Amino acid sequence: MQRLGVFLLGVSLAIFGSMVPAQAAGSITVWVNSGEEAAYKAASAAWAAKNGVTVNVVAKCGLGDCGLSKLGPAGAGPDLFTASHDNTGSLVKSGVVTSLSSVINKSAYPSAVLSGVSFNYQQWGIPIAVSNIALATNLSLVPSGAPKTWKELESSATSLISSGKANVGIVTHLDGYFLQPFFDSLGGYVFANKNGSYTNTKQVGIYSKALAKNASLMDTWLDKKIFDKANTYDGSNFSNGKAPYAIVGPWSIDGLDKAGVKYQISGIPSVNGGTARAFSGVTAVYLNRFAKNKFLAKQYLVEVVQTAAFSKAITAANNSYPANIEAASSIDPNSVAGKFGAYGAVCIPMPNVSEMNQVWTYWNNSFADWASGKAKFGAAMESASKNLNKALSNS
Amino acid sequence: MGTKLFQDKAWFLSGFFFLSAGLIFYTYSISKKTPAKYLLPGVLLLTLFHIYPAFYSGAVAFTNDSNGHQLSKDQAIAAIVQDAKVPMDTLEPVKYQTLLKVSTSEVFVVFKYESQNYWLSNGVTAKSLSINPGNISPDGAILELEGYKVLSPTEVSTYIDELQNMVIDLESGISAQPQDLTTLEISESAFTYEKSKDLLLNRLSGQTYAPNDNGQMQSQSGEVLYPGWKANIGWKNFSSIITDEEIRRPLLAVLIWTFVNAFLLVLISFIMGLVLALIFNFPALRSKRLYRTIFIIPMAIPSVLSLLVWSGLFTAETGVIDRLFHVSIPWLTHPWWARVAVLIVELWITFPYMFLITTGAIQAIPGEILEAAAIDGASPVKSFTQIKLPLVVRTVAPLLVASVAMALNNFGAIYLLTGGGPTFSNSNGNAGATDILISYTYKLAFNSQEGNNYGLASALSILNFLMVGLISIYGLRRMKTMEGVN
Repeated sequence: MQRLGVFLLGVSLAIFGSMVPAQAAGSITVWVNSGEEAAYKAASAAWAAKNGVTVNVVAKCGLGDCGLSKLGPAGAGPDLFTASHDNTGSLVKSGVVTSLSSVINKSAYPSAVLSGVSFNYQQWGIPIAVSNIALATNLSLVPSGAPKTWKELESSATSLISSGKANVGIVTHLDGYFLQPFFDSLGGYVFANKNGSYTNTKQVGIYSKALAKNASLMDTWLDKKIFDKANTYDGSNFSNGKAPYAIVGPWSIDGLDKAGVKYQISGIPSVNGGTARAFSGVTAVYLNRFAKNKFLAKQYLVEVVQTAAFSKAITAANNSYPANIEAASSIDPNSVAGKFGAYGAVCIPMPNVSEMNQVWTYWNNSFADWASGKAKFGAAMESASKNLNKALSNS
Repeated sequence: MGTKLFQDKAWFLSGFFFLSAGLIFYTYSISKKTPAKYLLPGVLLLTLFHIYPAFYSGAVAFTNDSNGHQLSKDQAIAAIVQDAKVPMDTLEPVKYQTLLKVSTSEVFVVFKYESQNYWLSNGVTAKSLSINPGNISPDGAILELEGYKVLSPTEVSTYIDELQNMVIDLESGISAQPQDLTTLEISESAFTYEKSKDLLLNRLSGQTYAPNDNGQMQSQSGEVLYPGWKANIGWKNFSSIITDEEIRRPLLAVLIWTFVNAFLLVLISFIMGLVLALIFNFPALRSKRLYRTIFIIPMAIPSVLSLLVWSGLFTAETGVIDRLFHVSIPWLTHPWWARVAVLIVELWITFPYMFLITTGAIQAIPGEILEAAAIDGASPVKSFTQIKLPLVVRTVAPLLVASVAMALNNFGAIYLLTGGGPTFSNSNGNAGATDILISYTYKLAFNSQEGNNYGLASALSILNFLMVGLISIYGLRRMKTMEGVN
């Protein structure tokens, strides 16, 4: 028994007293979207080797703050992490990121991209990629290619549906993000925007006068099966030639290519002529306020993340469009990424204020109410707008 | 682990680890036979994984622990000042050198800024000093300073941690911060913090901000600065359940459904299980074992899987159920149909359990009693209502109470099947027709896009615990009186 005691003492001291090894001096940790770690690793390898530094690329959610608001202050966060720019406001308000105004080379990015990572007059992230949704046209159903006008889109979709060749017109989620272009073309908006900054984030325009007037069009489209009431994003409809159009993002491309569909990427035509504007999202690298290796992380941001080559390498891996101007100029305009990018250039950066969180909840709910037939589109938007304005003015 | 926790200032946990190590050593090194040798590991693990989390979440319930309130007060104020800093671009980058005070081995930086003199600072205090020109090299580097050791570039990298976090306050609002190992960024902040008065002053607007009772700096006009810090807010999380209209509005509907769902589920599945048990206890029935095995299947499938499959089956119009019966029922999108769907699926998952326990209970009834009843002329119905049912109920009653308690907390079924939906349009998306209290709590605290609110979640889960606990105690009491009757 005594021997067992001594043995257990050894074991317990080993377990309870052992130190977690401190991070090696020459290393930084970067959290990225899961699935993209190989691209980040490859793009950082040369720099890491040259400086004798280890770049630990860890796959994390990449959306939202990955729990950083809790882990950061506790000292368990990474040095750098990627996030989509619409989190900027929340991240800043949680106090978990550090301003990169003195690090960022503003001339390397278009102003729309910069405004995405700007909040309270400071820049908080180094942009890497721009991604937005776009229209995919199934060339086997619509041999003439991507529709130039809304009329063309609507008539081709309705005739295919009535002839039984197609189940639905446009495969899409029926939510705020995916339907923003349609919402935009009907005259709705989230926050009034002047020269890239929001004039009033306590008031939404999701039931603007123009939208109120046009709202019944959305009901018509739902009835005509241009949109699918089931709201399940049945991508197989598009890849099996049972839907002429789909709203897709850069993330859908691999799947479409694998399915062997012949498709064309284009902007989404507006009802009023011209192009309807979707939300564009910027993937950016942020610096944890509680980073353990700030100097090295900043050096990495300047010497690696900010370069055109890095932006190009990351975006090539996931079909999105480079945020860096120089990298973007080298993209073939006829490639898939080039087409996403061309449409993205006219898109609206997704609002990055923290008020947007509440907007998403109310807005998406009213879309769900509309899709499920609980309310007409106008009525759904009216109630969301009323509740939102109330909630926003209270907060 | 203990030392790491100690370094991280987790006093309770580190103390617990050291104490455990000591206790384990003591208990197993004495040769006396004591019960502690059997009980100790269990007690320690129980403390660590059960009692500690319970008390921890109890403590969290009284704080405003949520997104935007994760920092300590000092961190939050430093962040506010830091975030309002504007780099003074017009200036040339300021070079600095790192020194080590010989007497204390403390890290100092020395640099020249807007004056003939040098500034010497350890990040806490900064003082101006003049240096003998003989000790300065032609390119401006300091070669020697009395009492200090000038560090070479390779030596400096050892002190990176100190330098990274150094903020040197020079004069009102202007501060210097090392950007890398050789340059400082001079910046000016809109805010200055007066520690003695605990006030933040906005130097541009003249507005002052004082701490409010929600862990934030607030001006007199009510403007609040971000980030806030973690603060004790007393009973506010609990009272907000009543005072916050957003939380309160759907609460009654959620509570009613929580109870209705739990009781209906247990009642119906018990009846279903009992009826099936009676049928499959019928002596003339053949291949009973096969049927019984088939009935157990729903219980054997991991419920995560079956719930997801069911949610696919229930899809409106394109779902298997609607197609099979040629109906168009909006199963998951209409409030009442969604409730029906939830009940159907929950029943499917739970009836095998009821079937099992009632089968057991029926088989345990002594044959003589039933025989005696038959001889006394009791009809099969009479013998069921007067003998079998009371005996079965008495046996399975504790299990029924436990089932109700479990159904009240049946988070998985709700969350995976309907996600609590369809949502009430007046609830900010947090509550829906099939939400029970625990799923509502989860959505309120974690799933809502406004970020995680751990404090509120803890408060709500304490209430949930009280509710389930009280019902269980009441149920067990009732059973005791029943035992008395028999």
